[in-house]
Amino acid sequence: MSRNALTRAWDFVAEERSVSVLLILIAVLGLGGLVLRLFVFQSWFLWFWAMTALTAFELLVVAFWDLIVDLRRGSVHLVTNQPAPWGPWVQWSLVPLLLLAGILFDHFVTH
Amino acid sequence: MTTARNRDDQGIRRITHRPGALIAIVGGALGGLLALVLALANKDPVSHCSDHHAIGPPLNLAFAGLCAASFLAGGLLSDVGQADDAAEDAPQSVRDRTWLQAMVVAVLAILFGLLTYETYSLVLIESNQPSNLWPITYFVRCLSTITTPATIGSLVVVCIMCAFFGKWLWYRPRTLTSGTPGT
Repeated sequence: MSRNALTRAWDFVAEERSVSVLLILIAVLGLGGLVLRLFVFQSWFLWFWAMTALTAFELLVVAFWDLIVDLRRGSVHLVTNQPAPWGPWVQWSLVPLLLLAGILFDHFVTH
Repeated sequence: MTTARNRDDQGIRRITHRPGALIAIVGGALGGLLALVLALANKDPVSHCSDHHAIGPPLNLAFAGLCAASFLAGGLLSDVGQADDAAEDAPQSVRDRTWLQAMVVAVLAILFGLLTYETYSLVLIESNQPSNLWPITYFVRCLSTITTPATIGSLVVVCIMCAFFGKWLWYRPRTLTSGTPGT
């Protein structure tokens, strides 16, 4: 990847706050998942449910941050109200894909 | 006082003019009632389940398939008559926006609490520790295996829940035919 492309990617992430927050959340989720799997839950089934709780906690933290910003009349919302920078079909397919992955994982991997 | 009553009337009118909202309210109430009846009619369902596993094939595929179908139906049917939503997508006041954000926080806090409870109760069962805590999913996993009416009833309840998830959790950007576009 050229330096120019890297610079453009960095500028994009820096400009789109929601995207950078999403990447941070995914990184925390991945790291947390690794720690939980290696040191806490030996069962994939229990790990799966622990990950759902961790995901909910991350979403709660983001929503709580935005609520504090609203109450203090601040401007640094983690989730911005700007239109998403990718196509509508990506937004359409995100939740069904995650749901399908969850059903398949729950049905065929954890049992 | 009059303003508050007018606002209530306006809210009721808005709900009655939207079939999706009516279906959601009636379906949610019936689903909750059915879940309550099933839970009361089958006391201690977890102890009836020897292996603590979900219903076997081919019914498990029916559960998964109907859940996915309900999710899609809940989402896609709520798009019908989307022009009527233009008023709701109009810019909000700061106060309304703050209340909405507070509700999001409350819902996510409840969700986090329920998922933590689910995980903790599953850990207790998997480690064979004595516990009175029933995992929430066991009401479907175990209840659905006890009797035929319980199987059908639990299938109805999970389908209603999946339809709600499809309606409220599935984000679908829309192109409004009138009013101000949402952000």
